[in-house]
Order: sequence, then C-alpha cells, then structure tokens
Amino acid sequence: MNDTPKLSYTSALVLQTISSGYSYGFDIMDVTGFPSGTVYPALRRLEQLELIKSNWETEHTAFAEQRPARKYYRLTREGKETLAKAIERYTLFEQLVSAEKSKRR
Amino acid sequence: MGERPLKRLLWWCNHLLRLASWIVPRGQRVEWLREWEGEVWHWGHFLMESGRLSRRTEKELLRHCWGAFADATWHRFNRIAVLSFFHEWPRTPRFCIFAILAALVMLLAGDPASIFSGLIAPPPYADPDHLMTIFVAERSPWLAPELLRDWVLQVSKESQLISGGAAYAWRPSLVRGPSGTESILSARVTPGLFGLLGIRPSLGRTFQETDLSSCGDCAVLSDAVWRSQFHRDGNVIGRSLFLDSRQVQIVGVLPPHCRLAAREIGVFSPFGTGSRPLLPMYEWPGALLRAPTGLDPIKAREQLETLINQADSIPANTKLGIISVRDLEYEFLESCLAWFAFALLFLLALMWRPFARLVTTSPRGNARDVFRWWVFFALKSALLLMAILIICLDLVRIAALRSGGTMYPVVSAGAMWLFWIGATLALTWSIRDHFGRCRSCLKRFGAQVNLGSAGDFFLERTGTELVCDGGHGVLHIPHTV
Repeated sequence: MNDTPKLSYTSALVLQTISSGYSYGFDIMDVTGFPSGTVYPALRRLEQLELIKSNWETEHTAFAEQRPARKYYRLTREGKETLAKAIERYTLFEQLVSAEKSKRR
Repeated sequence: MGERPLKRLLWWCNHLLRLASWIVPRGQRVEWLREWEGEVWHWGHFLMESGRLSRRTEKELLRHCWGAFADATWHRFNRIAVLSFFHEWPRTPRFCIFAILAALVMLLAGDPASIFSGLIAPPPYADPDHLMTIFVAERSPWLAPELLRDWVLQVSKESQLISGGAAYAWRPSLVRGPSGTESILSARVTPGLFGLLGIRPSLGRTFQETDLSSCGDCAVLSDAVWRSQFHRDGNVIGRSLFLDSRQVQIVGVLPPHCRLAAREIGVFSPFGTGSRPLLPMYEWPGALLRAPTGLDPIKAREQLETLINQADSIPANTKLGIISVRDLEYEFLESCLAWFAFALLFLLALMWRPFARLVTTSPRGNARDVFRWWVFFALKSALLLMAILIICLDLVRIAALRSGGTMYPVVSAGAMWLFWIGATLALTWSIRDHFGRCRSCLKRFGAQVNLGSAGDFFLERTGTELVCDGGHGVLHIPHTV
C-alpha cells in the first residue's frame, strides 16, 4: 500500500521551497508569493505529517547577534521522498523555485 | 527612513500578534508568539537595513501579520484534529447517551410533556375522593346531555347525599385562532363546575350563573390552547376565537393539567338551561357530583349509585356509571403502568436469544468493566424506551383527538402494538450497538464485528477480533479443535 501523503499544490510548493534552502516562514512567503495565512498553516500541517522538522536556532547565537531567535524548517527523509513524488506530478516546481532563486541572487 | 518608523511598525505588528495569540491553545501560545515575533523582527530589520522600508512594505508586513490569525485558528481548530474528533466522538458511549438524551429533551419540549406530566401529576382538584364522575356506560344508548344536566341540577338541590353537582357535554371541535385551526375537544359546562372542582383560573375568571343569559358566547381556554393559540399572551382576556365556526369571547384561562373525566378539554363554554336542537351522538354527556366531606367515599359512591338507578328522568335503557375522580385518574395511570410493564416483560421474553448472546459476550474478569458495560446498556435502553413511550403517547393522543378524544386509547390494543413495535426496534438496535462496542472503553469498533453464536463462543471458535482503536479488548485466536 502506498502511504505517501497526497500533497496539495500549495503544500508541495512550500516543501519544494524549503528543499531549495529557504528555511523560515517569511522567506518562504517571499519566494512563493503566498500570504502568511496560507504558508504558516501549511508549515504546521507538513510538520504534523512529519515531512518537515523545525528547530530553533540556539539562544547563544541569537544573543550574540542581538536579535530574537528564529525557527528553521528542514525536510525529513519522508519529506524528500514525498517531494520527489510531488515533483513528478507538478513538473514545473523545480523550475519555478530555481528561477526565483537565481532572480534573488 | 530611520529607527522610529520601524519601532512603530514593530509595535503595531506585535500587538496584532498578541491579539491573535489568544486564539492559540495556551500550551502552544508562547512558542507560537516567539516564532511570529522573531519573523516580524527579522523582516522589519531586513527592510530597514536594505533601505526598502516604505509605506508599501510597511502595509505588506502588517498584512502578513493579519495572516497570524489564520495560523492561530489552525492551531486552535487543527483540521486533522477536528476531522479526527468528528470521526471518533460519535463512537463514544457519551455521544450515544447525549444523542438519545437530546432526542428525549426535544420530544419532551413539545406537547408530550404535558401528557407525561399529566399522567404522573396528581389531579389539581379539591378533595378528589369525594368527587364522583357520572358517565354513560359503554354499550349504553346515547343520552341527551340536557336530560342528565336537568337531573343533576334537580338532584343536587334535593338530595342530602350531594353537596354540589355540575354537568357537562363534550365533543370534538375545531378551534380557529391567531395561530391557525386546531383539532381539540370542547365542552359545555354548567357554571358551577369549576367551583365544584376547586379550580381557580390562572387568568380572568370562570363562568358565573349570569353568563347563561348574558354571555352565551363566553369561553374559558385550557392552558394548552392558550399556549398553542396565543403563545401565553397575558392580554388574552377579551379577545375572541372561532369554536366550530362560532365566534366566542375569552373570559378566562385555566391552570395546566386540568382534565375533565381524564379528557383534555381545550375550550369550555356555558351550558345554558334552555335546550338546543342537537343531533344524537353529537355530544357526550357527563356529570360531577360532590359527596359531603364527612361521608366515607366508598359508601358515598354506593349510595349515589342507588340514587342514579332510581332516577325517573333518565331513560330506563340508559346505563350510567359512577367513579370517584381520584379512582378515575389513578385507574388510568395504573392501567398505563401495568400495560407498560407487561409489554416490557413480554418483549424481554421474546428477545431471550439476543440477551443470552449479550450475557455470554460481556466482559469478563474486571469487575469495573462488567459494571460499566451493563450500566451503559441499561441506561441506553431505558432512555430509548422512554423516548418510544413518549412518541407512542403522542401518536395515540393525536389519533384520539381525531377520532373522538378520549385518553383511554392509550391502553388500547393499538397503542400496545405500537409500543411493542417501537420497543422491539429500540431494544434490537441497543443490543446490536452493544455487540459492536469495546468491552473495556465502550467505544464502537471501527470495523464491523461479527460475533458467533453463544455455543460457538463457549467452544472458542468465533475468531472474532474484539479490539478497539485504543488497544483494549481481547484479540481472540481460535483454537484448533
């Protein structure tokens, strides 16, 4: 039986964005163009499905740079597998995020 | 732009975030707020340091902060959790009991409540032991109400055995008021009837002797008609409605549960001394006689019975019966209870097989589990049977109103069959529902449970899985025979 969760277009794009190295909420919003009310619930759901994992940067680092700590998101092994399947379904993903990435550079 | 606009922007953003954080469950609130505040801080400083902080980007950031409400709502009403809740909750025993209770409350909110409480509540009459109801016996020829009325009025003046008397004539009627047309029972009553019963009106007044000549179109409403037609309007006195196409003026409203010879009369009008041309069987007569307080009720009844049999003005082939109001009310209640108990016992005897299966498949070992299992079954079944009983009473009442208006059909064979059918269905469902529940947490199994027969269970050949989602129960592995 195939246990891979079926992702919506939004969730898949968020997953692809994280995979491309954008690891916190506002950055993902900036790249995808989705509003915060869409991106954050999508992040929560992906985390609940264990496709992404979040971790806080150390207080030490944040304190040293005189700024609040941030929460970073990264893909899990299941997340990578699911994304690979999603890319097969949504073939333009990679191009979209890569194009955005090169534009920002 | 400098530090000041950024501080102002962050101030606004943080206040929005704090407001949204109230939606987030308490346990996750701190971390949620920390993440959002961190993001906003970084985004704001990035905009300022890159020289992109402008009115447009400020508005954009504030707009993003509004998105925190959506995120907070997701935390509070997590879709997966909500879906899981809607999937799990209906399978719990609590849901089952709440659902039946809700149905029961809805049923009791309507008219059946008045029937049910009317059955249980004592009659609101003064000294019902000494109050005798005179009625035309079954299979006796019809008697003109005027004849009985004249005899009652005469005998109550002449006889020492009677301290007061009143007569009435009841019939099925249609009443048309502000809330539409309604099928009820109406009665013409002599003015002294309410005084004899000891009933005081909750609004207005009852009839007086002078009403016979001056207020022939006066009417007194029952509490039920006042509720259904005027929605308990306190200013109902003086208003009018149509009783069998005749306009009548309301002079009073009676308190709840006032029955006349176990019948729920909706509208009362005065029973004048003059006779009116009536078709036979159009109205049915009755009378109330009060025996003196000092007299033993049984003796009083016997003496009054002799008096009735000697009445010259009553046709010889008419048979009149007599019963005290208390006996009449309690006879009705007793017959209802006896009928209910008989129906239930018969049903239990009829359904011995499913019950036996329920016993053999009940939880074993843990006394708490056994107790909870049977208490839940008893509670669920009792509530269901109560709901069925109320539905039956209501259906019978509606049928009775349409066919002549007595409450006695409740004890008739038709009503009993109706209850049997309803109770059989209810108990069958209750047992089936119980088979499909976890023996430990009483939650319904997700998959259908196929239990074997009682004999198979003893031989351990059922091979049925009795394990719920919570992991309780017994995973039965059949033995090789």
